[in-house]
Amino acid sequence: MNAFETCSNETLLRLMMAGDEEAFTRLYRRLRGVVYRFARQMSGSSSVAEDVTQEVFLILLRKAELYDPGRGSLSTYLVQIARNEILRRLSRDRAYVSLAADAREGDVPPDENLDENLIVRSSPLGNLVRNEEIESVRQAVLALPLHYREVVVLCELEEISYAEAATLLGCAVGTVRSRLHRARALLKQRLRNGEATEQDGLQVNRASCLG
Amino acid sequence: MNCQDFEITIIEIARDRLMDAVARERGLEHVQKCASCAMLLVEERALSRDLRALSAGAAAEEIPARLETTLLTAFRQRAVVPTAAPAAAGTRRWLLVAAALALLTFGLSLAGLSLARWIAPSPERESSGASPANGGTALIPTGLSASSGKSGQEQPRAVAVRRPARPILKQQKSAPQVARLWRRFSEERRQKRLALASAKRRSASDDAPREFVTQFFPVMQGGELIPLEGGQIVRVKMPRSNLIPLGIPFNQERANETIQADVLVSNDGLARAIRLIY
Repeated sequence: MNAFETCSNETLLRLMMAGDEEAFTRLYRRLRGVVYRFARQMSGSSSVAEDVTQEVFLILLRKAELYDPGRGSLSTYLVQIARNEILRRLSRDRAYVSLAADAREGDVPPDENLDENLIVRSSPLGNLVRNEEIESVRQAVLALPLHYREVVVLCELEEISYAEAATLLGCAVGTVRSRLHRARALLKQRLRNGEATEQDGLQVNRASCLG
Repeated sequence: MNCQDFEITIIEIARDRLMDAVARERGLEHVQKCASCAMLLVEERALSRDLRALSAGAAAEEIPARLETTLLTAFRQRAVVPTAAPAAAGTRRWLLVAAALALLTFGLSLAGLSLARWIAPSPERESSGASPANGGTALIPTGLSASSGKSGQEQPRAVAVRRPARPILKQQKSAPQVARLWRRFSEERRQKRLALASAKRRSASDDAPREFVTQFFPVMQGGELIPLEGGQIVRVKMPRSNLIPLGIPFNQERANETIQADVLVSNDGLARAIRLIY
């Protein structure tokens, strides 16, 4: 067993800062997934996710000493950098998140990405329907307002705890909960009817629960 | 549990995450009784299932290998210089605090230095105040102290204190002391300015020769008083004997001496009144 496998992220970071290339490689392989997926889900674009991931690790290379272990885990720190980078890109060039453009982008086909356990192999038609459903969910997530989208990506897709998401987003845990609640209402509404506004989603959710 | 309470816990139940077991049990009991909430839970579970499927799809997505190659190249080109450990970020804050404290100390030192310069006796004061008798003492002006008991005058307004062997600044390090000294310094400067102004006024009045004047005596022109419309006072020096025609009594023994007088000259150039100055 390689000694690096048992090292914590912080230890690997120290070794990386001391110039250990193997430590950097290990650290990158451990943390690239969460950064890349976050960027991918937030932007809806593989190329943007690639750029953001590269930028995040370059920042880590250049300014590793800025990381403070007392303020959260290294993965949270990197996702935070990724979030800032995405927000910067979104404000700079909104064409990157154009849903129509993204749909034509020609990313990896969904059927190659799905978890094998989620696909009913015996039914090609069922696979197709399921893939369409997942694609519609992806589009619905991308159509969410930014502050709702990032909560869904962090808490639902990346399964980060509320507390960690709150630290990452710089808000209270209660804010994360309420945003997630509203985001799910919007998602349900969009998936049910296609187009919906935020207000509609909230009204529908509340009305359906009064019984 | 009612529907509103269920609404709070429905997401946690639908997500199958760790949650309070009692709340979960009560929520599920409520679903058995409430059809609309049961429908809502079905929708939420469907959404959670869709999101998990989306997450699984994203997790399976390949991250391009060229990204790792690019970053490794950047790492090698960077020629990593050993830097501080991550924990040093915390100590860096302490360094900033220490730097701020050092800056504050420097500022206070400057203030103290100016105070010390002010408190230290000037060469003139030292030469006049220090004597073989008092050796290391110097006169330090102070508006707060009483005037010298020996002279009984306020003019010197100085008190003899022992000048410390080392600069005063060295002994006054704490901020409250410096602030107190600064207030005293400001107050004494104000007192000194007032004392100087009053001394100037006093010296001006002392230097001027003291004079006593009489009242104006009218000067008759042609045996009658002409109404005065305007004029000016001219100070003249004249023989005392000239006072005789004016009817002003004087010492006959000093008749050859001169005397000063203010003559009120009207606009037509005639003397209209006169007063004597002694």
